[in-house]
Amino acid sequence: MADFLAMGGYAQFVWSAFGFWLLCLIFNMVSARRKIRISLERATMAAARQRHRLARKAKQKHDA
Amino acid sequence: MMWNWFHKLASPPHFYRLAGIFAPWLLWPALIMLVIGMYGGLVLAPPDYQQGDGFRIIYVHVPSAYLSTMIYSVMAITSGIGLIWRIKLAFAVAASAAPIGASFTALALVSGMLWGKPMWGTYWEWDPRLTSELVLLFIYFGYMSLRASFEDLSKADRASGLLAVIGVVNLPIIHYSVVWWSSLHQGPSIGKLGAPSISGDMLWPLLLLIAASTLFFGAMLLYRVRAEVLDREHNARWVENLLGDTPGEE
Repeated sequence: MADFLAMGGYAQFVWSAFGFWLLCLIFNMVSARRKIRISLERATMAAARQRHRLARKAKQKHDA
Repeated sequence: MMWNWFHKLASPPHFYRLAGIFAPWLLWPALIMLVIGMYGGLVLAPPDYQQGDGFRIIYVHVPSAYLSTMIYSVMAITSGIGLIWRIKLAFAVAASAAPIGASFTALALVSGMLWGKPMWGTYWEWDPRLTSELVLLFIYFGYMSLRASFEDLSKADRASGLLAVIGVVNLPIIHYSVVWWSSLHQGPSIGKLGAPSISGDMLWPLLLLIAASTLFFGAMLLYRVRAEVLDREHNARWVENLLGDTPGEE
């Protein structure tokens, strides 16, 4: 196991490269997830505003 | 027939639905293949006769370098399609590909530097391959900041699309830099037709990782395009229906 971790003396380079690789994958997944969440929130708010507007319009029509 | 299919695919609600179905089917196989490929690369592959275990950086470097140019091609082609046929979805794909491409270009550069230090004795050299790859990273950044500088989305699409198409000249420079100029960077090892100059034990994890990285990119792209489509269409009736019927659905 120690041999494996030592990577024949190249440990710092090999493990840093793999660390950055893992970081890159995680960054991509987290940022995609975050983007979807923000877009969904924004679209949900827009849809709610639209429903509210339509309901108000319908009520005004009804009152008139 | 083909054209109809293409048009249907390019319609935002249809694409949104399809992308939602396909994305997990790309992501999970990609993650499983990445784990197997890395196990193969780190544990099963024998050490190189010259570079010892230092060569294992190849399993990070080559797939990310491949993705950096492949993603740029996707970005340039979809930008071209958007500019010629005025298909908004094509611009949404290009815009979504950019941050993924930039991240893998940065990874290709960093892993290359970490490989260069023990093998060449230096982290960085203004060598044609390294320099053109760095230019690629700057083109990605330029593309993203150009998009961000416009309030008007269709102007942002056109301007950044043009930049993506023009930036394509950098791709053959990256690819042939090791052939055209004398370079510290080695020539291609697996692209050579017929006989790749790398042994089978070392090759299969690399090929698996390249395939896995492609699937991973596909999944990230689909997730991002879904979000991009929602942003662009948030006033459309189909979005309203979708979110009205199933509140909080992802």
